Amino acid sequence: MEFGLENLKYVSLTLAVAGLLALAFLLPEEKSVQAGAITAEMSGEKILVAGTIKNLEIRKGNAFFTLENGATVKTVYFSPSIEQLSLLRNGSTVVVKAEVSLYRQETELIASEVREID
Amino acid sequence: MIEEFSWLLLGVAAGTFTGLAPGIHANTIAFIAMVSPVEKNLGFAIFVVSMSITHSFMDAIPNILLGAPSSGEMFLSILPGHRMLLQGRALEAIRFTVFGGLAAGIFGIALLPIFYSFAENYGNILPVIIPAVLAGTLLLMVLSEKNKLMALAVTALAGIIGVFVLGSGIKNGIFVLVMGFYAFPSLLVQALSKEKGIPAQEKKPGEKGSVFHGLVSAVASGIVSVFPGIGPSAAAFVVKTFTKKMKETEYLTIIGGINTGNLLFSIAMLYSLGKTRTGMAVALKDISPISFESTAVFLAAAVASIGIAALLTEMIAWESVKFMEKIDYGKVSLIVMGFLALLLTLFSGIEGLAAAAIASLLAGAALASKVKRSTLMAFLIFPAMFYYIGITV
Repeated sequence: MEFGLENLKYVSLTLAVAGLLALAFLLPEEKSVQAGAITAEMSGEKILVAGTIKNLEIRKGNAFFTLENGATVKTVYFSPSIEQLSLLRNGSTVVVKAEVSLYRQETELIASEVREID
Repeated sequence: MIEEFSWLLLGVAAGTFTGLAPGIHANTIAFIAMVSPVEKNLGFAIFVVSMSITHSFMDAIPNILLGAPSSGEMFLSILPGHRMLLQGRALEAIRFTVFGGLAAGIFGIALLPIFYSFAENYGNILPVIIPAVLAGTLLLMVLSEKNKLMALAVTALAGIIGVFVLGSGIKNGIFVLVMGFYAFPSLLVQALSKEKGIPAQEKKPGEKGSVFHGLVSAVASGIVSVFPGIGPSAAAFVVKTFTKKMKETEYLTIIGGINTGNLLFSIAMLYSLGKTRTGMAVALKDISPISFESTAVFLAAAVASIGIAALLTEMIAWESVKFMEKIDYGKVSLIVMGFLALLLTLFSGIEGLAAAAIASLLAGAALASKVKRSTLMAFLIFPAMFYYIGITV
């Protein structure tokens, strides 16, 4: 089977449009940021942040931990499901979907989902 | 979303620049991106993907237009792209690499589930068969040469240099050796060339592209992404060995396809095996957590970049050909050599520059004795083989 190279531009254009549409569909709503880049000005923003769980405490069904990745950020996960709780372990590396919040003048994350990284 | 789309377009612009600049390898640009003082987030990862993909299309232009020896006794031993350049068919040669890249992109996406499934199910047996596959590839390369003794010596020396440099603590060893084995010798040959321009070129439609060879390049890209150490040129060589009487245009389709397809598959392999098979994958692993979602985003960015880069390469190829007919590219080669030497000294120190010089001498010996430079890939294959056999130097 042969292909006339004069048609390359049409195939290229189709592929570019298909790729851009797929990208628009697949991009997460949350912005991906590094722990060190989280600031008080971002309060209210929904973000994705990767890091290692440290100082994990479970109190009254809520999880409290620090997320470390170059910098440290306090994180609270209110009433996580049992499945989500099983992912929370000291030393495990996770991606946290969270909202940036200010608590007693300190920046912290209110987690809504945790995913483990292989 | 606008931010991520902007990163994608910026990556296309950066890849166009690095691809057109002669002698800059795709791994070099991934490395430069990593050391740049920019926040490393998902947008930046998309930038790295689109820059690498665009680079893989654009670098066909300098690869074909630069570094060709003057016509004469070397005509039969030179690369197919250079042979077409000397025949006045450079534009056609570039278009065939673009066709290969596009075909590998389309077939690659269709084949991804098969290779992903293979890596998931058989990933654990790969460490056992990898040394044998790598040794077989090297053996095939040496046996295909006319001067087998010289080819064996070049392969062994390249392997030894690779083992020592990559294990010596010299910073960014792969960057050093890619510069030494490939960039500097080509640029030096060009700088010393007495011919200061390229022959007059034609702008005609040319032959039709073979869809079958586009599919072959996608399959070869998938195989390359599973095995470490085998680069695009080595894979193209293996395909050529098993395909009798391959035409120049078919070879260019395959090399263009493998260059782009290799990047596409390396994204999937990073997710399934957790292994980095390209400089782009190394950068992605450092920038962003690798999950199913991020892998899907990288693949979509790669597909969009393939389409945009193919369009752009088509648009500027003829202008580049006309431009190259006018300029003294011996001087351009010297300027690029100086720039790369400066980069090497900055990122790898004087010892890196010295190692690159030694590698260049060996590459020069290979060129002089008409041994194909794909044998120099032993610099990566030897360390990979030793690693999987369990030998540490």
